[in-house]
Amino acid sequence: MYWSDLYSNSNKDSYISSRSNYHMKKYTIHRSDDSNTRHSKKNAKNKVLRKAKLYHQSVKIIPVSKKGKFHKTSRNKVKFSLYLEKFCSQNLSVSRFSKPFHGLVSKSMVLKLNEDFSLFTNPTKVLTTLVDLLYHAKIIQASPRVIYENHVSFGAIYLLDNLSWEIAKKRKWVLQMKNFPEQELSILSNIKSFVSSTYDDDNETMINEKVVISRDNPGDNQQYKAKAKDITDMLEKAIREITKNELFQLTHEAHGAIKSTIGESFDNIHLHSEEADFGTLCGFYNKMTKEITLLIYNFGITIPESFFKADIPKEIADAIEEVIAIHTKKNYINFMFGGEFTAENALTLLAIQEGISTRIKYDESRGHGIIDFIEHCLSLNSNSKIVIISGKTAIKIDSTYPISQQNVMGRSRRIIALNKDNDIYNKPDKNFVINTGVHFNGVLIEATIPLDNVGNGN
Amino acid sequence: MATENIIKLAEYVDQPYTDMISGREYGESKASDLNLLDRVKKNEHFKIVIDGDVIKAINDSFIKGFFKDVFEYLRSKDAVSQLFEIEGNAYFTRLFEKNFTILDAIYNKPAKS
Repeated sequence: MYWSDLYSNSNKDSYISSRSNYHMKKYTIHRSDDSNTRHSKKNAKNKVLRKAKLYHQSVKIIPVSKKGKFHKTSRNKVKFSLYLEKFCSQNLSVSRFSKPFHGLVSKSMVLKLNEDFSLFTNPTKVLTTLVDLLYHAKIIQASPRVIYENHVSFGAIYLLDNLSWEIAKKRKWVLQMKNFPEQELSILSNIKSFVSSTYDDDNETMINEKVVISRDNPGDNQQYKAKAKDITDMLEKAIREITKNELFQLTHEAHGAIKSTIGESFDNIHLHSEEADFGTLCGFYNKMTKEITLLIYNFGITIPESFFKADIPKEIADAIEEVIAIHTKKNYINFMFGGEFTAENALTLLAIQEGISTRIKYDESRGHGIIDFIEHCLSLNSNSKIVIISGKTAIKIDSTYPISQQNVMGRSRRIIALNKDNDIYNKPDKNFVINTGVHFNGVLIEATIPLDNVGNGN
Repeated sequence: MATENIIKLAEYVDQPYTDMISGREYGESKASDLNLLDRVKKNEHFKIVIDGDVIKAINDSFIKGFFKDVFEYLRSKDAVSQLFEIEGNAYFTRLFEKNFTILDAIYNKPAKS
């Protein structure tokens, strides 16, 4: 975890950077030091301590211009990678920290980790926090605080960690942690999202990889397949330890669910997101809750953007337009304020239905990947939870609204319309298709699969 | 009796590094490497052997990519099942059956008059 490098065991509720610890040792005063040396060391040590001191209540803005000898010059602004800058610029109006230099920022950021801070439970909150974090890093000198309330959701915290590493490349970045129990600290300290890593201890196992997408040869892209095997091997080992059954093997159904999620996601990155050079894959097994969480995401084209660009057969395009018209229709309650759903929301929901694909004109058998892995996850364990985020849309899937076979758009196909009739021509449940208001420029999938029965021979 | 050609899917797994077969384009490329469609047109029979100790998962997209041209030509699950025998455990047999049913729904349409 980003925080692990900065966490001091001697003081849980505040910390001193590891760099400061190093300097502290370097400036230790010895008996043999003369008075000048002592004086110098003392000054140097105080200087380091002043720099490391947390001004978490200060909202001092990072100045972007400075007075040169003859004229004002500009400091380098904090600028992130291309995709993160795009994420920031597309969500300028979302963040309360993006209002520059007018005293509107009253406090630096305080992030509370609880049940609500989860990609499945509240995707809007997580995405808004990510935008806030980036703008905070751009504008305010002080460091954010992270307060544990009752829960850490792995997918959300992984994204925070990843962004923190990106921010730390550009400026001094410090996070103050409060109230974290030992077990949660153990999990956090082992997330090293910035580098490919594997971790295994009494509480959890984790595999994290930045997967390069090769487009030259369909036989390439072995990297994600190898990581998928590593993840299932990790799970088998963990369950063998827990159940003390050395012969335990995951069922083919479990392999199918996990590898389908990974394989279909990377297949989609390869086929649809032509400018994406890599995708991020993380498999995390919580040994306490016996749940595996798979998080896969890439920056690039969003699902709706790929549809806007695509050449789709007329009969499918007409059906899509009809669905969009129904979903975006305003009623007398929201007439003044806009409909519940946007065209983008409708398109993202349509994209996960069987046989709806931007490539359907060239190959009628396309458009099955997402619904295949949803089906695999739910058939393995009906308590699985999946969230798909792209653009400003978050789609949540669990056993509330099951997949069923429907005759739509010319043939029988699997549909998950997320309403009580499972009718794609009716509006979905707004608790399951969410207009987040935050534009995620890419595609993110988080699947949480409970494996609480697998050790019992099921 | 028609001669049977054996296709061992374990050969598509990069042991010991991987244990899954996935990728639509990978499926299409393997079908192309085998000249599958030309051989189907000559009414050749095939046995697809799946070693469950080597292969832990096969993605649906691979199966659809592999059989896409075959289904486009033969148009029905019954016709494909007559030429292709699946030899593997119950999980993989059901997996192929499911994907054949989906491909049948796509391609088994009456010819337009």
